Amino acid sequence: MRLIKRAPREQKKGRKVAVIGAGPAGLYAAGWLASEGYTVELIDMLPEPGGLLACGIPDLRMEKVNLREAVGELRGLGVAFRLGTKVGENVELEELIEGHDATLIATGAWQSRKLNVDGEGLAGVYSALEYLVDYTLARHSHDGEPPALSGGIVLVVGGGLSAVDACYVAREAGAAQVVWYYRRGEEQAPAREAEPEAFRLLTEQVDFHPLTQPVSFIGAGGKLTAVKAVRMRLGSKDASGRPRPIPIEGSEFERRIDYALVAAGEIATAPPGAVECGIEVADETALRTKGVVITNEVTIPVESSESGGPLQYVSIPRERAVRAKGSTSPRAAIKVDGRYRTTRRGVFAAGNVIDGPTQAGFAIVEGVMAAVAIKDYLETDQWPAEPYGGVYEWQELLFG
Amino acid sequence: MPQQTETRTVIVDLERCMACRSCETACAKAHAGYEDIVEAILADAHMVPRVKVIAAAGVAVPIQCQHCEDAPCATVCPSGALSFDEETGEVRSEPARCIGCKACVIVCPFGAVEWSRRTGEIVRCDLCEDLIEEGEEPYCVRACPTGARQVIDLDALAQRKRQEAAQRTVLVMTAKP
Repeated sequence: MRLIKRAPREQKKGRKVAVIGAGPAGLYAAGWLASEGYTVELIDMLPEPGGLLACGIPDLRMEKVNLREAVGELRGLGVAFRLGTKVGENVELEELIEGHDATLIATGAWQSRKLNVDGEGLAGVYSALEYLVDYTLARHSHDGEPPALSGGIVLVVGGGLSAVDACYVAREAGAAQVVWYYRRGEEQAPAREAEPEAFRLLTEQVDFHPLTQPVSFIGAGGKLTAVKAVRMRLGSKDASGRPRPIPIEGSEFERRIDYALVAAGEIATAPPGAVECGIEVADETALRTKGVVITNEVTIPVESSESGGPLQYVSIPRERAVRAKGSTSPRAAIKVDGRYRTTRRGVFAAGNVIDGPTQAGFAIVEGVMAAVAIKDYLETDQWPAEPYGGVYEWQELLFG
Repeated sequence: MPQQTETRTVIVDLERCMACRSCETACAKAHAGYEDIVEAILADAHMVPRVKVIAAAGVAVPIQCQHCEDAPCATVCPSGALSFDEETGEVRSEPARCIGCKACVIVCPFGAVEWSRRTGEIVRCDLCEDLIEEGEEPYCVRACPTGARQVIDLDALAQRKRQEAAQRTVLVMTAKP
């Protein structure tokens, strides 16, 4: 891993670029721009650069030594790091845009989806990502205590790689037992698609239950004590092209658990104030055309009309569910054109903040491509109203 | 000092390649740990060739990792699964460290890095480092029936080409009009 070019240009160009988010996209963009002689400032909310690469992927899955070395080289090239700085809290987005000749937003996809079931606010219910980050940061001796899982029964919910990582970390953190629920069948689990062998091994090591979905978390004194779940069966294909999970009536059951790590997916997270700064946020359709599948359904229990009747389950689009509950802010994926330009002059965006969660590799490549676009803009000072189509050919970029 | 391996690599003589794809089979089965292809197939071994013979405009061109200087794959790899060894001039891989981010697959100009769904790790030519270090030939070279694939010392290759060029020059200079 190397963030800076082999022969970085020494001369300073006197132009300043702010990169918001020091994850894979932001780090590679910063390195490329700094190598080109720009003055780069990297802003990140975490105390450690690297984003999900550093803190989201558990240490047992990826050694961080290469990352640290590469970041060291980046510092050596004069890139300024403003860590532990959250846009909207410690600094305003407008201030950053105004204070720099160009700004790259690479804030990733941090906001975790919720299950939208009762009891999700109980102590002991965490978003898996939040837990993974806290756990890893604590391991790296930063402030903050990861919630102890030792000796407890830990429930992991979800079928993606975050769920897999949550299982591993729960075991490492001393869970007495790891129980894993996934609402669709084993064949549909994205983690199985991504890493079949690792998935199979893990399902043998933990108490894995496909076709099972929590319907509520039960607590005593504000603390999680059990989960109420329902068994599912597979129906016809839904919008994501996978069979729709349908709850089997009367199959509800309760199980005692101490902690729950919910890995229901993440969504693109634009920095607060983006819209106010004239940066347009993409809608779901735009994401779909980029080939990103959005799990857009959620199953919620509904009281049947006759009082005292059995609970009924309906599947409704998640967007509606989120808004109906008014819990989380709407999806905030930033809209960009073929050169990673947002709708605000001088502001670019790259990585998961434009297309939702992907594997790090896509963000890395996008970061570099956006950096080239920024250089183009700073050199030509052109900001055509017409959006650019297509994208750069990456070859010239990395070899350049 | 150990044997000078830094300038040794595998080259392909396109004129000799007849696209029999013996290199592909030999590579796939050897890296799956088998000597016999039938045995490997029966055992449902995970066989992925690291070298490929690709048809382009009616000509067969073997494609493999070029061990680029300043290799893009090693530049983007965040986990250290791919790295550039300055001493040997080789791109080295440690598949076990791969986190499956696929950045290398996206940036490789030759399509020489693949990502295996089955193992969740990268697959690419490792130049059969162990074999070369022991002075033996990589599997693909051994399997090539026409001798199109050769382990070559780049210094020796350059020397040979200088010799050939000199001969051509002399031929041109001494040719009668």
